[in-house]
Amino acid sequence: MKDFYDSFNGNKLKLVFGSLLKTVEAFFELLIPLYIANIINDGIVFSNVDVLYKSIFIMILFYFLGYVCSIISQYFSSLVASNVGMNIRNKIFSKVINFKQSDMDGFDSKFINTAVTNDVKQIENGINMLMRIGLRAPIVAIGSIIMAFTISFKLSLIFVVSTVIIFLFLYFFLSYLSKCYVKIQTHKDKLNLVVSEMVDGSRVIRGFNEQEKENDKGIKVSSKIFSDSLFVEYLQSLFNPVTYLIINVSLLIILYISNGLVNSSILPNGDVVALINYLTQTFVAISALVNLVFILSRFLSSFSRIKSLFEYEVSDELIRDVSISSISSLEFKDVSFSYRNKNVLTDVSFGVKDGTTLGIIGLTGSGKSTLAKLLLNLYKVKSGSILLNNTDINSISIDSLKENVALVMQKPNLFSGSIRNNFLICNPKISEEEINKCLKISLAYDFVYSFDKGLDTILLENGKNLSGGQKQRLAIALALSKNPSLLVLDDSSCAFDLKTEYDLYSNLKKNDIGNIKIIISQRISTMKMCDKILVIDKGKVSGFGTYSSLLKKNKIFKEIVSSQEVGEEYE
Amino acid sequence: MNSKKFIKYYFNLYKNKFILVILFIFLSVLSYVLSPIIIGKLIDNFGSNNIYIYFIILLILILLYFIFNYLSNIILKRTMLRITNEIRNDFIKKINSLKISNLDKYKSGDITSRIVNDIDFINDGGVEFINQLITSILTIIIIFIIMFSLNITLALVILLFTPIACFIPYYVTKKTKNLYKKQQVSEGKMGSYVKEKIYNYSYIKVNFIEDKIISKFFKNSLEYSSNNRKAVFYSSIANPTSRFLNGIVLVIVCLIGGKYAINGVLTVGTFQVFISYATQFIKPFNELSNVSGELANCLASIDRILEVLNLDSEDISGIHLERTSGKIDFCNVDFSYSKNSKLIEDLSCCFESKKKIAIVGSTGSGKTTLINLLLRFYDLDNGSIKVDNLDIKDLSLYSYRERIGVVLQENYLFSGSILDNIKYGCSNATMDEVIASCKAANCHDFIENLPDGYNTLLDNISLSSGQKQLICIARVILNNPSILILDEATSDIDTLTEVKVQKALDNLMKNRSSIVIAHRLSTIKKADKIIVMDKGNIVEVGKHDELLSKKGYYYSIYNSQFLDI
Repeated sequence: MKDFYDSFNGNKLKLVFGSLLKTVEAFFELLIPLYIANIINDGIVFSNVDVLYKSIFIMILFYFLGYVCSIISQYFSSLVASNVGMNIRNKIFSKVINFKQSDMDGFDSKFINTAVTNDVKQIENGINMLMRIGLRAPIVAIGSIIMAFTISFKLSLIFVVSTVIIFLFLYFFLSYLSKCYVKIQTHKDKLNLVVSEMVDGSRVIRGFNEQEKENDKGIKVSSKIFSDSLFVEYLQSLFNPVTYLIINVSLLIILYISNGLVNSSILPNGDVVALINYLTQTFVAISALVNLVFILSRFLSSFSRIKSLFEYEVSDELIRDVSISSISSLEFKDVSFSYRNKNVLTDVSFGVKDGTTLGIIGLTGSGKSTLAKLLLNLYKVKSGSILLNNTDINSISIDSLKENVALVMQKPNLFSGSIRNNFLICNPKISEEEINKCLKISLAYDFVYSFDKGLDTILLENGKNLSGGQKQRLAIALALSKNPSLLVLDDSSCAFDLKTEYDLYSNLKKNDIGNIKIIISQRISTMKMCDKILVIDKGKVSGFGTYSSLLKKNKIFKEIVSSQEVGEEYE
Repeated sequence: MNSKKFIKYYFNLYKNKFILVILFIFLSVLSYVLSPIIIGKLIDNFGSNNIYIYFIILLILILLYFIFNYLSNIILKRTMLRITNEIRNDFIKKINSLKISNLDKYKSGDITSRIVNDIDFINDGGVEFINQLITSILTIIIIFIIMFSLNITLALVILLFTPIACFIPYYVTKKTKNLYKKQQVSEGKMGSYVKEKIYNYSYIKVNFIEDKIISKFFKNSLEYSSNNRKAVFYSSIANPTSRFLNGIVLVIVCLIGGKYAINGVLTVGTFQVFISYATQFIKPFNELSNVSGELANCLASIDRILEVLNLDSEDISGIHLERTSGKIDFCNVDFSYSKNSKLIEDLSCCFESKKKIAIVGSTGSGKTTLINLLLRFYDLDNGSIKVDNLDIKDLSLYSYRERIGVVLQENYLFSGSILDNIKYGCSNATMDEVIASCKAANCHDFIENLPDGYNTLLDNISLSSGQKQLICIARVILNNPSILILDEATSDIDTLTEVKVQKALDNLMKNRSSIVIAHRLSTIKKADKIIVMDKGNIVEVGKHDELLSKKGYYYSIYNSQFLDI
């Protein structure tokens, strides 16, 4: 929670000053009824016009000063709210981005999305309103009660009783209502999910003619939102009439008692008027508080969500102090890894040296992609070690890894924005020449420049406006732009035809890309272009050697080769 | 439809409810406004016996306010919830009926923001707007009538100065409409940024670009913050300004009223009544100053909703296609995604019925586009596509797509159980049929081995892309279409499993037309006809052996398999 309080740094003074000004404004407001009472008691009753003029003058002054205080304080409250909100938002986002992949896997992405955007907004709102109404309203309410005490102790007791009743009523209502809000928010999250699927899966929905089904899915969630919201409204609408009832019945009682007191001249008429004015001031303040209460309930539920993120303890940081300028050897030593209690890799051992192109082949779910993810340090091994240049990968500095290792994933990621921008994100200093060079090697040059705007062509979300093969070629170009000494391609040519694939890998070889290349694939055609091949089966190494040696000795390899080369096998 | 017609439509639909709301608000306002007068009478009648009647009247007024205020609020809120529920449902139906060419223009985050946030704004903003507008207008009208009957001068004074009190806040909120729009845009920008980066999280980790992603975010965050702050601050000025100006009105009332009271023209009680009205009814003037802001917000959101609702849906009318032999003809087809770069020009070819046809070509040659056109996701610029010599534009979309089964490049599965996904498009299938399809697609075994079997929820496990693809194939097998389209479908599955799937697909493809976009030689070799594409044109057509002997484009692709680097 230190993070939360730190977000107020640089704003604490503004917070205090802004709140103070609001308090001052409240005080001016509290004094006004006194002067009205004065006008009646001393002015009207005694026909003293001077008292009238004096009181008027002071009232004008108070109103003006109160106005100035209010504007300045609202300036500060909007400033503090947006600054603190920004700080919190930035802290959460940085924290999340700096998570380890394993940390991130434990969170629902919708939760994180909502936390950074919506929840922070509720907190900003809450701070703003708290500063504006949170101090002013209670001060006016309590102040009015104190003023009422100075007028008549007996009558002001009724005041106090009714205020207490209202606060109790508010408190229990608030806690119940906030639970209801949480429930509605869950439905809204579900709606978010369902509608996302309608957009992302739009082709599948139409292809299978399941528009009705999807409509029903959405409408079902929609009606839940409707019925739960309706229930909340039935309750929430009680706030105003109930508080009005309590306050005005107390007013009635006060007037009833005053009736007796005025008769016996204990209480001047003007004071009764002042009491009524204080009562109505209290009422207005309570109404404002009620509004604040709703905002607060949203604030609290958002706060607890953000709190859980702030309090999340990231897995331990390792000491990474070894720098490597270039990777010349790679070794897996008895590496085992499990994910969500399932063994993915068991005792994987192999090594490759400088200048080797290693191919990794295996069936679906054999663990090939996991090898790549471990190389990029996305996850930590359960046992065993991964060595780069005979150094444990866990002690290599992040910068060294960044400069030397590049991975192209199976489903290539591209950011929306221009193609040029995608390159600049990975390497802000890259020149257009270098970009073009990478594009040519990865055979992306032609299609990029076939677009009107070339490098400045805007990509849609996730590169939607490119075909699968174009995305993969671009992703490979991005990896190349890092000039890595270890290049890992995880099934990144599956959208290519054989000729393109051949041209690509020959380009990589011709241009001396990477000291060590690892190509993970299902295709024998790819394996043919590799120096050594690793066969993975059910998370274990089945074989490791050259194409010809594996063809002779490895059963699985033989099967894969025969299934891909000849069609007659299964005629 | 524009926002005016839209609002008119819903207002007319629930006209009775709105009239009832107005009536109840009127009654509650009446009870509220009459109270100070009764209190004034009470003050003037302290000590006399008449006072007891006034106590009773006051009690009744309090109870009436309670009842009518609650009722008016409930009816209004319930009506608005009904309206926004309907809008939400219409929006959902629209999304599912939109043309793909229209839907592709939007990011999913933008659409979800509209249906969750904008609809909330319409609901909350609509309630606040109507409530505050009607309450404040009725309050002001009734007060003026009452005040006129008590003392014309004071009433006129208040009447003279209130427009000033109203105008300044109104002017302020007008200025803030643009600020709020700016804020909403930067909010949407920031939201999409976050969504995209969270979605591509592994990419960020793998490339160690955390710092850059964070610093770009900080820029977005700052931009949003400053837009937000400006919008909030400037709109917040309205309230205190209103209070101040009303304070001045109160002071003037005290001055004039005080003098009248001193001169005996007004009783103390009536003086108090005017003070009550001047102080208590800051609320309606404040509310009125908020009203245009609420309306602005609401209208901005309505525009965003209408933007989507006004887009063209798919045209579902047409001749019902009961069955088809699967003969497809492309006749002089022209198509490009953008006017500037032509993709397909004057393409003609024939896909014979019940044959297996492979389309081969480098990426970007137009293969996937053919599928988009065949499925009518995009419309042709020129030419026609015919099925059984019927132009597909004339066929009803539903029956046409019913005859086609597709396994696309992206294996999309929905959240829910595996069983739900396999039965997608075929909800009447029996469990036996499902299991048979899964056995044919070779995914039955791995599904059975999962903790909940077929009822396993996809959110709880992570499947490899190969496994997802098998499920997609089982889905198609279950749907049993006349025309099969496989877009690079089997490239994600390991080859041993693929062999088994191929066997099943072979069975499926017998007596069915199938169009396969694949790179696997084994698939292509078994095709009845191979169509080779390059840059949007068909360059070669024929069977495997014929094409090899031509020693052309196909020949060069085939040979690269055996070349050594």
